[in-house]
Amino acid sequence: MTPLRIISSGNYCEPVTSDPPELKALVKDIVGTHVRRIGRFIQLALIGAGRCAAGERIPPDTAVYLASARGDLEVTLAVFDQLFRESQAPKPLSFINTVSNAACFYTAQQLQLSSRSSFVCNRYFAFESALQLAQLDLERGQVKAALVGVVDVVVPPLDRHRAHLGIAADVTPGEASHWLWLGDAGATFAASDVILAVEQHADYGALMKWLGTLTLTADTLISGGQFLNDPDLASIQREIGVRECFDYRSARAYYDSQSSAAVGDFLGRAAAGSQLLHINADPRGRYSAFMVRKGRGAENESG
Amino acid sequence: MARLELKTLKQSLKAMIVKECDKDVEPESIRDEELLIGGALALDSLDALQICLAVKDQYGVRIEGSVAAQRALGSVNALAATIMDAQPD
Amino acid sequence: MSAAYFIGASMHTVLGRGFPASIEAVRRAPSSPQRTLAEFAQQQHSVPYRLLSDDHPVDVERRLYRVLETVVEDALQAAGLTSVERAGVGLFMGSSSADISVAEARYRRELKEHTDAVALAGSSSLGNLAAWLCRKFDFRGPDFSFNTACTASANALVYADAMVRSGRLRHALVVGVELFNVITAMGFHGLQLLASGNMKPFDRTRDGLVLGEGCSALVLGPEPRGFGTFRLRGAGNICDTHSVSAAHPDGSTIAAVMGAALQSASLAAEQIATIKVHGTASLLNDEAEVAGMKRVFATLPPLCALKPFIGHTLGACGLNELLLFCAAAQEGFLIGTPGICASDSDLGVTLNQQACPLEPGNYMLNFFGFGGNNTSLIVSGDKV
Repeated sequence: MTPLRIISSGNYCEPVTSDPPELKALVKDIVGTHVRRIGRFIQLALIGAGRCAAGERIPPDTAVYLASARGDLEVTLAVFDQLFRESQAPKPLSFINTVSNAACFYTAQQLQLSSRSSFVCNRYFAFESALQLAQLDLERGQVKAALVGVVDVVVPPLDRHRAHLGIAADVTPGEASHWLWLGDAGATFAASDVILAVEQHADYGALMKWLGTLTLTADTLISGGQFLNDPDLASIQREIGVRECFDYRSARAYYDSQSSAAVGDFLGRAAAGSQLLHINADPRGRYSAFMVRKGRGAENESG
Repeated sequence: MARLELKTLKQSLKAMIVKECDKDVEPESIRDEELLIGGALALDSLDALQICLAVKDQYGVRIEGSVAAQRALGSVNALAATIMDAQPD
Repeated sequence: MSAAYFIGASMHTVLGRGFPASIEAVRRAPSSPQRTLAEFAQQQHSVPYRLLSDDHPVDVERRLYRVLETVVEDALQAAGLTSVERAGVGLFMGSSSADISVAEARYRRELKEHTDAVALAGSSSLGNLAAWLCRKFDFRGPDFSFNTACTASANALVYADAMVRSGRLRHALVVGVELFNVITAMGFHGLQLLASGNMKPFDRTRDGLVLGEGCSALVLGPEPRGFGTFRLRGAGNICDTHSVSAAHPDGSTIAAVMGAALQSASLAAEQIATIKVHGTASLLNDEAEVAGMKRVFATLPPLCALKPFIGHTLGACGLNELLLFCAAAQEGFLIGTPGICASDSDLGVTLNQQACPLEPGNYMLNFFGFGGNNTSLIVSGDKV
């Protein structure tokens, strides 16, 4: 595939051990204005996307791809309880926000974008799914640049939240919003941080066949996504001969789309020119993989 | 007495508008005669629905149809009058 | 770059199960809509909702799966996919409510049993329905669940088409589904968007929409088979940031998305034979839609509205209306809505009134959703 240049990344990731913190002030600080009528899910989207823009004006023809395993769980649960416990019909503003792509709307509106927007869900490959759609549009020339993000919200009480996520009582859940601003790599390929590949595979055999086609340099690291089990990771690592693992998960609170954090973490810590191969799996034995390379920087670019 | 009640009602309505529409302004900053929808407050038709619903829940007064809503949401004065008028004598 | 043809499809709406019944129904005038009771806690409320024929909302915890399985199986069979081909299928699902109907039924049952029941306990992922289909049919390709309100299944088609055309997938399955649920019914009621009688898009007397249930499925493949030579020729999608619940009233953003679709199809406006309008029969959105069309088309081609027949099937309306339109086009006719927006509309347009001959050509189908998600599709096809 055509490599995608990572122009910037924006991240928010906080463990939640009691009530999650108020985000209003942070949103106002980042996007520069009070955005009203939005809940935590949309606030998180604005924080991550806003940090990704980092005060720069993102060109208006940039598309928004937002993914989540569960969407705006906060507003959905509130509507369920109001209706079936309190016998109260959904309020107009709550009902509108149950439409998950309301988050795309506010992101595009606050960043003044007027291109495509998409909200896509997948339980195990949320980030990978959004990345695939963005890659497809960029490759076809349908869009010039893309903002690819994932958002996970925590809805207290924490015990109920853990039950929704299917995690044990001793696991700390977290809220996260991870975004990448992607463009065409073009002439800046060597200097830039790039996504070299994003691929989904039907089974282990298909994954291994694809991995055989990759150029894995000596400084390639490997990461297993949160749904890939350790024996699988070890066996893949052995077969392709990658020596070192990149750990971005062990100190991280639990949320659905942790994969997305690998990119920002890797770019922040890795040596110039090194690569990260990230592999995730779902319970049916499908695999989703992406590969990122840390750029050499403009000053080191040759010829 | 009636005057005082009206004044309290208008204060409550302003607080309700700020809360329901999630406006970042002090309730007292809304003037009694200020246009609510499409005015300086920049409220839209969704806010209008939200306010009408809150009025129904809190005061038991139904504001139905776009003509009635437009009239009732002309200002805090108009909204208060709509609620007062609907009270049984 | 290969092509992506519509090679097998199936649908189930208020008009019936399968195409013969649906085609038969749209040759006549739309029926009067039913009303259905939305029940919650101690309350009930009557809302206009066109329910699936032959499968009423009882046994709600299983109904969704039953409906989906039948429609998907019918589409796979119509496409004649072998078991090997089936295994390679990628799934592109579009829905507004996904499995909310099931979650509601389960929650209500559990609340009766114990007060500490938890909503969405069994399924809090919007991708669960797609995951269920993948397991059921053993699809091993990727699955995407689009949740972009009323454009969801139209957007699902756009990416399914792109995946097949790029060669990443040989076959893609697009599914749109929307079944009755109380949250949707009461949400639209609260927004005061529901009609007193039938939907009358663009008509001077329009007063809102009728909700509809529907499920449809379409298989895309690289060679034409079965369903004529229909294919997605181009598409546009633009996020309208004017308002979260309404398109820009001057029609500029709607014109822009239609323009993007024409450009992606390499067509001029004059080459569009007819437009399937979105037409939600709301006062302002219809105004914006007509303003948008008038900006793009110097002379409007015949306009056809399908929601008066099947109701607004929300996230599924993209695929439901596309398939209904194509099925009629394959029979050589354009669907008409007698008596709806016949003349003297305040918007200065008329809808096609009677079924009339439709030549093979390029057709535009428009879909606009909450959250400013606007999509315009251009479909081309010949009769077989």
